[in-house]
Amino acid sequence: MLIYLLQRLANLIPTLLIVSFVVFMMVRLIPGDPVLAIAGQDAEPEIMERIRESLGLNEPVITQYGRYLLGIFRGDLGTSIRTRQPVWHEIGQRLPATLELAGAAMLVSLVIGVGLGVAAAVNRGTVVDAMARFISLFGVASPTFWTGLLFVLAFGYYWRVLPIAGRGTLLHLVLPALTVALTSVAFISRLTRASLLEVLSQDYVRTAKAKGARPRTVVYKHALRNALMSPITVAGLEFGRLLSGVIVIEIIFSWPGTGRLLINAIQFRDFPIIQGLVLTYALIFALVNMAVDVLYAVLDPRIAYG
Amino acid sequence: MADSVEASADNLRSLTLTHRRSPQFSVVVSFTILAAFVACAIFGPLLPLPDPYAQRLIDSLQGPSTEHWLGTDQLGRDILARIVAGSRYSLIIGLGAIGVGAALGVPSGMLAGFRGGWLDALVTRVVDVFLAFPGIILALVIVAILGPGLFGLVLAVGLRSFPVFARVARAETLSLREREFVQGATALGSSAERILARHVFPNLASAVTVIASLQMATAILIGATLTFLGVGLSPEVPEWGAMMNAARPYMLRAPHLIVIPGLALMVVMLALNLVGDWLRDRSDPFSAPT
Repeated sequence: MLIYLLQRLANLIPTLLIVSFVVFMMVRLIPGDPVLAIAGQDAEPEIMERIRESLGLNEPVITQYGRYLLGIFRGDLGTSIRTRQPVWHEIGQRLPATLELAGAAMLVSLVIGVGLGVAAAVNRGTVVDAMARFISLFGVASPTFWTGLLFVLAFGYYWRVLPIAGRGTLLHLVLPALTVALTSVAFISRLTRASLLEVLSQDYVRTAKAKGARPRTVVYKHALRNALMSPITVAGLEFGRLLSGVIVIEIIFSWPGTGRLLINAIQFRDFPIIQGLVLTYALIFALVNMAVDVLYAVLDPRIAYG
Repeated sequence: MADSVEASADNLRSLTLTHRRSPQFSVVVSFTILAAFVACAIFGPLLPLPDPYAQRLIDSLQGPSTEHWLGTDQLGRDILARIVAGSRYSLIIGLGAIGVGAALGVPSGMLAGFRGGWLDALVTRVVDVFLAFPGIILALVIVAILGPGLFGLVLAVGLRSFPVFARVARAETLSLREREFVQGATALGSSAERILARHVFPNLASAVTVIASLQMATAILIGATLTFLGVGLSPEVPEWGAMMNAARPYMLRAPHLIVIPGLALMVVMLALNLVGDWLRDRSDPFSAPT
C-alpha cells in the first residue's frame, strides 16, 4: 500500500514538470509586455530596462525556466508583477476559500447525485425516475454561470432568503456550492442509476432475493455497495469540472477565492500568478485523482496495489 | 453463458420497453431545434430584423413589445436580433472546436493505438498533460495567449477537446487492430496508412460521431463561459456569453437580458445532449439506457 502510494506520488513529478514547462512557455507567448503594464505607456526606456532587469526578463527563456523551477523547490513561486507580493502569498491567501467551495460542491454533488440516482433506479419507470431524468437533463444543459445568475436573482433579490455575496457562514456556502454542483449532480445521478440497475440484474442479487431478503436490504446492503464504484471512479474527473466551475462561480458570488485572481492575472498579463495558479490547480487535481484511485483500491478488494 | 444471454435479452427487453414508452419525441424536437439553430446561424442576416449592433439609448432596457419581440438591451439594441446573430458565433465555436479536436485527436489516437511503442507512449503522455489541466483553465490560458477573437476562442476550446478524441480513437483502434479484417489486410501487405484510412477509420467513425455531438455541446458551453468571463470576444459582440457579461450590471432592472441568452444557450445544449445520447444508444444497443 505504502509502495503504491509512493509510486503514484513519484509518477506525479514528471507530469507536473511537463505541466510547469508548458505553462511557463505558454505564458511567455501571451502578447503584450508586462513591463509596459508596470511602468506605464510612456515610461523612459532606461526605467523599463531596469524593471526588465529586476524581473530577470532579459535572460534566455530556458534560464528563466530553470530559475523558476529551482525556486519552486525552495517554495518560491516568484513575485506578482501587479501587486509585488510573493505569488505564494497571493495564492495561499485565497486558496482555502476555493478549496472550501470545491469541497462543498463535491460533497453536494456526491450526496445529491447518488441519492437521486438510487431513487431513480429503485423507482424505475415511475414519476420519480422521470423527475430525476428531467433534473439531470437540465443540470447538464444549463450553463453554470447562468444558473448562478438566476440563483442570485431568485434567492438574493426576489425572495431574499440566502446571502449571495461573500464568504463566512455556512449559509454563504449554500448557493455557490449548489450552483457549482448542479452539472455534476446530473452526471453522477445518471451514472449511479445505470450502475445500480446493472448490479440489480446480477446473479448474486437474484440469489439474495431468492433467499428471501427484503427488497430494501437487497438494494442497500447487497447492490448499492457495488453500484457505488462507478460514481467513485468518475469523482476525480468530476473534481476537475467542479474546480473550473468554482473559478467562474466565485466571480458571480464575490467569493474571495482564486477565480478572480486568475481572471485578473490573465487580463493584466501577470505571468507569475498565472503560472503559479495553473500549477496549483494541476497539483490539486492530480492529488484528488490519486486519492480517488487509492479509495477505489481500498473499496474494491479485487484491485491489487502496485 | 446462458445467464449472460438472458441478461442481454433482459437488457434488450427493457430497452425496447423504454423506447416504446417514449417514442423518441424528444429526439425529434431536438433535431428541429438544431435545424432552427443552424438556419438562424446561416440565414440570420436575411431575416427582417434590426441591425444587432444598432444602438438607440432612448429605447434601452425595454421589455418585450411588438416592435422588439424580446425587448432591448442596455444600449437599446434589439435582443432578438442579437440572439439570432449570436447563434452564428455558437455554431462556429461548436463546429470549429470539434473540427480542431477531431483533426488533431483522431489521427494521433489512431496512430498511437495502431503502432504502439514509443508513439503510443508519446501520445498518451501528451494527452495526460492536457488532461492534467482541470476544466476550462487550459482554454483560459490559450485564449489569453491568442488574444481576443473568434479564432483564438475556437482553437482554445478545440485544443481542450483534443484529448477526448485521441483517447476514444486510440481505444477503438486498439480493439479493431486485433480483428480479423484488419489482420487480413495486414497479411495482404496493405500499408498502415491504407489500413487506418480504409479499415479502421470507418469502424470508429460512429464512436467519434457520438463524442463529437457531446463535445460540441461542451465546446459551445465553454466558449460562452469564456466570453462571459470577458475573455475571448469583446463585449459588444452579439455572442450569448458576451451578452450576459455586458448585461450583468443591469441584471436587477432587466432580468430578461440574462434570462433570454441563457435560455437560448440551454435549449441548444439540451438538444445537442439529447441527440448525442440518442446516437450513443443507437450505436451501442447494449449500453445501459439512461
